[in-house]
Amino acid sequence: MSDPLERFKAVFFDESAEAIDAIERNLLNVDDASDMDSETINDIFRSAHSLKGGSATFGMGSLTEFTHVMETLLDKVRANELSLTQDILDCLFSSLDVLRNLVSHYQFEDEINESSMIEVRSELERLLDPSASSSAPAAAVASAAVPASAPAESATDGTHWRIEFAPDPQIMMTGNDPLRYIEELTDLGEIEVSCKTSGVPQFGTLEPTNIHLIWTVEVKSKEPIDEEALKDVFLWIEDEAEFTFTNLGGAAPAAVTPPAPVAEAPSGQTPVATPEVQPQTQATASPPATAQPEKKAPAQAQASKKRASQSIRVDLEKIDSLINLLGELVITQSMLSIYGDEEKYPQFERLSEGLSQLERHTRDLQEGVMRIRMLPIDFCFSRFPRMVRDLAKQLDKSIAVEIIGENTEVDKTVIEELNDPLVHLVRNCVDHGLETRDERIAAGKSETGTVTLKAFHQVGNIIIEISDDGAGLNTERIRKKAIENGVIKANSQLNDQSIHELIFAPGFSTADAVTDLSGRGVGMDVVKRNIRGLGGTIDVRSTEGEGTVFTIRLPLTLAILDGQLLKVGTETYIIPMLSIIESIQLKSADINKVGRRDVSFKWRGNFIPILNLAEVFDCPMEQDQLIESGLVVVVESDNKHCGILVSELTNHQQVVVKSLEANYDKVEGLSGATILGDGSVALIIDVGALITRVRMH
Amino acid sequence: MAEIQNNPASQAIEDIDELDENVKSEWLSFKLAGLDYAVDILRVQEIRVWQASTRIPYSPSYVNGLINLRGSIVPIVDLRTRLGMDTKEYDSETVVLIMDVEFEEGGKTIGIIVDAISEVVQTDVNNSQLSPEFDLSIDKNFVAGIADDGDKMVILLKVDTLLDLDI
Repeated sequence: MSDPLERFKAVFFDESAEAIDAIERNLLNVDDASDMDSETINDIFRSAHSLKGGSATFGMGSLTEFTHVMETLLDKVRANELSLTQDILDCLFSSLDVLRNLVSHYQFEDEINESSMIEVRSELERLLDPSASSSAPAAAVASAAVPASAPAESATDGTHWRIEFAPDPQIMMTGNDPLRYIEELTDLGEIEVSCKTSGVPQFGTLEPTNIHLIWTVEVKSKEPIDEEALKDVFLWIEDEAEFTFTNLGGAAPAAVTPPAPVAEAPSGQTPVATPEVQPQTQATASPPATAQPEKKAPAQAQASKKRASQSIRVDLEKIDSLINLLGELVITQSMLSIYGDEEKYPQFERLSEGLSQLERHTRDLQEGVMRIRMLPIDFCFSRFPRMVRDLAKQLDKSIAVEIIGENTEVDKTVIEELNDPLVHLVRNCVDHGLETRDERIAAGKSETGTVTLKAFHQVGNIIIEISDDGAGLNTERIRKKAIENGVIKANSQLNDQSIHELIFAPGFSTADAVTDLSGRGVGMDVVKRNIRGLGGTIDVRSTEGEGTVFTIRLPLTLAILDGQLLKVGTETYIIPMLSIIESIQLKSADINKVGRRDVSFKWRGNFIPILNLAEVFDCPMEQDQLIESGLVVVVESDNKHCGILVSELTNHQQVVVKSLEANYDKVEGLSGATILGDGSVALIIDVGALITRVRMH
Repeated sequence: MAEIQNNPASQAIEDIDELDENVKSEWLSFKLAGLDYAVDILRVQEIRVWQASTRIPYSPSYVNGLINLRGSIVPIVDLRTRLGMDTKEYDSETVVLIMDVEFEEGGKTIGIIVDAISEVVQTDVNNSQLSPEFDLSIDKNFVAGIADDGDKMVILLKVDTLLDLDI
């Protein structure tokens, strides 16, 4: 990252991802309303345009070329020369895929998908072409403008150019010095510069920061200069100045106004922009604006509003170190709080006041810092309308996507990890859950099925529901399949709910035909594993004929955990509150034994296994002691329950989760460690692993 | 140079990657069951008095437990147990050296418990040698060499192999 160019590139990649997303969002809007407003199309055009400019700066040729074609098409739509048909929309959507591929090619050296690029590109060109015959006068100029450089080069040798350079009056405010660009031309050949000062106003009205000069630069070179090379010099300011390039090397002077040649033509401006008309165009800024100056103003207002609500990019490491530091502060604070006990230390009344204030501020600070890591779940949800649209098309189903609670905030790491499981679930809904149009009509439902993505907070957890109003899970088929695949025995008696949960079993798939969408049988168990890896749970509820709901329950953040402190002898452990159902006091007679081993006890009508922590973790204490105390914490993971014998329950508090792997290694049955108020280390119990372990015995 | 080449131990010394030829290096020495041992001083992050640690379930016997090092969770290793010596009660002289350890998978921070800290020993090719001749009763893979510190012998330890915990 030390190379400054690399840094700029990184910013460009970030921005291009944003630009592509913005285009997609806008296109989807157009799709919904089936008509378009000029604001949206302007937005799309701007995104494509900045993508082109950026890619050209970094010499990413393929990307520049492709966006150029796309931009040309968009520009025609913008100028109302082409109406935004379904064909064009579909083609623009596919262009986005090509763009993503190209960006990742330059960013990660991925393979370019040549065939699709060429296909989409020729489609774009095909869509551009018919307009040439329909709107004759505009197209005549337009088609002349595009290949203009070719005949120009053949007619002249390109060794002598005249460039009219009329910068926007405000160009200095953007940090661009016109002089530098003129100087840069000397790299191409010898230059002769004359300056036209007629545009300079009277001294009294002169604004010293504005430029009113128009330069005429003649470039002479022994070698022929490509017009593109000249344009490249001005690439950075192509929107902030007017140019005319005239080849004087031979006879017929061919001229093109560079940034959006096709847009120029219909706007009624002659291709050769003479200096005389330029003072007026200067006032209205860049070329495309001449056609629609009043449209640009609200657009800019909107853009600046967006920018105001936008964010800065911060390295995640910086935030993490802040969170670590804060964890320290919380520990120090709770260490000090011992001295805030007024009964014990009545002489320190002021101190205890200060300490309680400190506690409040620390808590607020902690909340604030944790929120930095939070992103609206929209980051994850927003890709689904597009995905479902494509899938629905492929499967010839009619599907709407409903998103509820997209502003619900979730930890960034959680969002990243959540992506794959959600994609899988949504695909399943579309592929298996929702019926075809005919089936839906036959079942007396509306033709269009709905996939709903919903997110909301619930007591320190985030709940995500993925539901469809499709056929629901077919209990009989799942049962058959499970028996076939050996997941359950043929004679097992299971209620509907237990059968539905079989879809999470490894190696289970009910799709009759394996499609490329889903149905390889590696799906749901992986989804479940991923969710569990995030400390969450997933379950399914389904009603035949009405639909299926998948509910994912996740902790808000992975960095801080709501924990119950408990003692086993002298050692302190922590169980995540999320997995605790209740704590109960048992008599030792309630515990069933097999030989000397404690095996189970009856809880809410069922026998559930019991686990002696002193034995599991081999604590230095009399193991029987725990049974005498009879204090049991009932925990749940994966809908499996288990009782854990402990000596004592102490505090309930938020703890900062630290990894054991950083300096040590993974330990079975533990998910991490934390630092307590007294500065000592306590271990956090991985309930899921413990339950799996007890089931294996 | 001629003098060194005549030294029969010179060939062996070249094999010691922990000791640069001719270049002086500094080692922090400490007591362990009456003998002097030392570790590369550049690997020592800090020296702490012993404090109670949190036992880790299923850990090897020589891993004493975890301590809180300004917010990081750091395991500490009882060096007596690691080197197969008798254990001793921790007392006011007991010291924990927090070490930087380099593994293939990356660096870790691990503490070692020693009886008492002694001094800094400077070594160069003239006063240190590899130790094939005598049996030190500890695993040879842990030993980088022997240094002569005036009248007594100091055993130089290889931190990275010593703390490559077999978990």
